[in-house]
Amino acid sequence: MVIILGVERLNESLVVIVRGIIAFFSLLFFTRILGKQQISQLTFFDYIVGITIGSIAATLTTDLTSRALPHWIGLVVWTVLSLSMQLITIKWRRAGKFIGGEPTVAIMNGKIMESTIKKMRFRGADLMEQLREKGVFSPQEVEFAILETDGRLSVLKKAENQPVTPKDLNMPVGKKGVNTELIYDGVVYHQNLKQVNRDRKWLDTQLQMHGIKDESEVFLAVFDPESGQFYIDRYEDKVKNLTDMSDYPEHE
Amino acid sequence: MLRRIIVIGIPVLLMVIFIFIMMSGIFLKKPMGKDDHVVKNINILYNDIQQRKWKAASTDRDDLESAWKRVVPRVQFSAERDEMNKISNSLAKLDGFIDGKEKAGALAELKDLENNWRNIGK
Repeated sequence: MVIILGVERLNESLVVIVRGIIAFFSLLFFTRILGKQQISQLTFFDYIVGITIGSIAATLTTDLTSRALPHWIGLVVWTVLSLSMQLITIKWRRAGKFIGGEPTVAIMNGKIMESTIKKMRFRGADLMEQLREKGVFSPQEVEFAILETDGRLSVLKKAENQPVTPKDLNMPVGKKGVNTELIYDGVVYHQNLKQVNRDRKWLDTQLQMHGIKDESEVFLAVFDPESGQFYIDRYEDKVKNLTDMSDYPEHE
Repeated sequence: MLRRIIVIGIPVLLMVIFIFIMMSGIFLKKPMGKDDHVVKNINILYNDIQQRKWKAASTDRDDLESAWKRVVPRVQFSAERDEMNKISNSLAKLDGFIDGKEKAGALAELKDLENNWRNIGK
């Protein structure tokens, strides 16, 4: 308790803590509703929406000169509007293109589309930089370069500049699937074991084959059911002459 | 099913609690005991000042202040800091007007206090 203007009040820090908890969990809940878009996939508008929602949450926490509820309602309004925009863009293709913009062709058959990149307020230097990031050092190598709505450049190289694939060489390749975690941090995940149609007995045999007596010795064990590959990593890594990339080696 | 209840139920429950905390001023400013009836004290003080009963007004102003002191910690999570400061300021000014036996000033300050009180937690 502190005395402000002769009246005993709760310490303002306590009020900030409570408002902080409200803002934190509201933000967590609302961002979960808004979905799982990666930062790199955000459009410029999504980015601004994120900043605004964050800013409202910050004010909700620390601005004690105003009530918490109007800020919280502001959070709800921005979340609901964003969500409606998302739903509109999913449901109506035309509206989606209007709101989120459209990908545009920046390079076609090695030729830069100057008027298009100018319209997108994209400089030639930006274009070259993005091309270099994709491992392309001359626009001549490009068949198509498309400027995506989030400002990234997708590049399709000309056929003669594409890397050779096993298909080009008519090489047979084995199937590759998705690795499933069977053991993590010494704990066997029976549900995953069932998913890859294997049982505990099979896992024990695999562990024995790798010289492991107990699952608690294992940090990570993953299995690819398509290729049948089994990868195991123990806590005890028997590595001699460990490469130290740090500037401050542990033992000098 | 249980997972669904947890995933949806907990956030919804949290939101309801948060809204309740943010709107709690509306309920918590109402009297909960004998000595925290702010509106009643305002009315008593208003009559004292109208009838120029300055001694009674002084005592009743103190009662109003102690009622306000009891309510403050309850409404702090939902009220604006400035709203609470204004009520405390009005109480201090009222003290001066009652001491100086100035009816108009005291009434004006009391009306201002009443207005600020009405806005708390709204």
